[in-house]
Amino acid sequence: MCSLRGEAARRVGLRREHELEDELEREVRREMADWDFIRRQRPRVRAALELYVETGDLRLAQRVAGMGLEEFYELVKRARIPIVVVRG
Amino acid sequence: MIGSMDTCFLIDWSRYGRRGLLEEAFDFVYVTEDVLREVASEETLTYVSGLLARGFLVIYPLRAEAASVARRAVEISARDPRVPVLDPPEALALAMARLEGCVCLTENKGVLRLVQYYEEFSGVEVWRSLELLEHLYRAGLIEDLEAELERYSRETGHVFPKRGGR
Repeated sequence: MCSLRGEAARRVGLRREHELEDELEREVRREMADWDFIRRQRPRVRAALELYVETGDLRLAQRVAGMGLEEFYELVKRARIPIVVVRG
Repeated sequence: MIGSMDTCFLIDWSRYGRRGLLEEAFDFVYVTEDVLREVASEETLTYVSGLLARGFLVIYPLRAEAASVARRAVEISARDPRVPVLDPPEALALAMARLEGCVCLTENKGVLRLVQYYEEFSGVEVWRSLELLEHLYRAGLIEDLEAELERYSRETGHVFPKRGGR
């Protein structure tokens, strides 16, 4: 879902290191997420959590979920989706 | 040292067992009223109230200049696909840091990328939890950085993978 913007980003000079960083973060979120928990949620919330896994965009996902920021943030933690901070 | 902070950083930091270290690293930290509206849990509210009572969290006197810088940051992020789209609260944290010359505390990638790609924001120092913990380590307030990163991960749901070396 963010791939179209990702393609556009590459065209206008997204640094390779940032592209790799985005990929690593996404991969870590996908691996660590509790997919059973996510699949058990109602459709709107499930879609929001999946969006967060793919993009790491908390604000956008929160709006899709229709929840307050901290409430959604807590749900992200319960879904075991980590906040990924790449080092080095 | 002075900081500005967004809501997510504050929520996470409030979960950290050694959250008092923030007050050792900074003289005070600016937040906007948005931050106060967005925190909802008892845990975070208690932490925030304590910081406000001690004068450590300071509500930024929102001036037209800050709103203008924040609006510019949001507009750039919406136009430039290299920069994740910013929301006004994070853009204001960036604007406060730029106008006051203070450290911006955020994990928001839009803020980070804006500083990395745009000259007009390049002077702003942005710290994620990683950079704050590294600063605390260099200042001698943390004894073992790796152990502290593990603790922060456990308590806040962060992970700190190394670039190219998982």
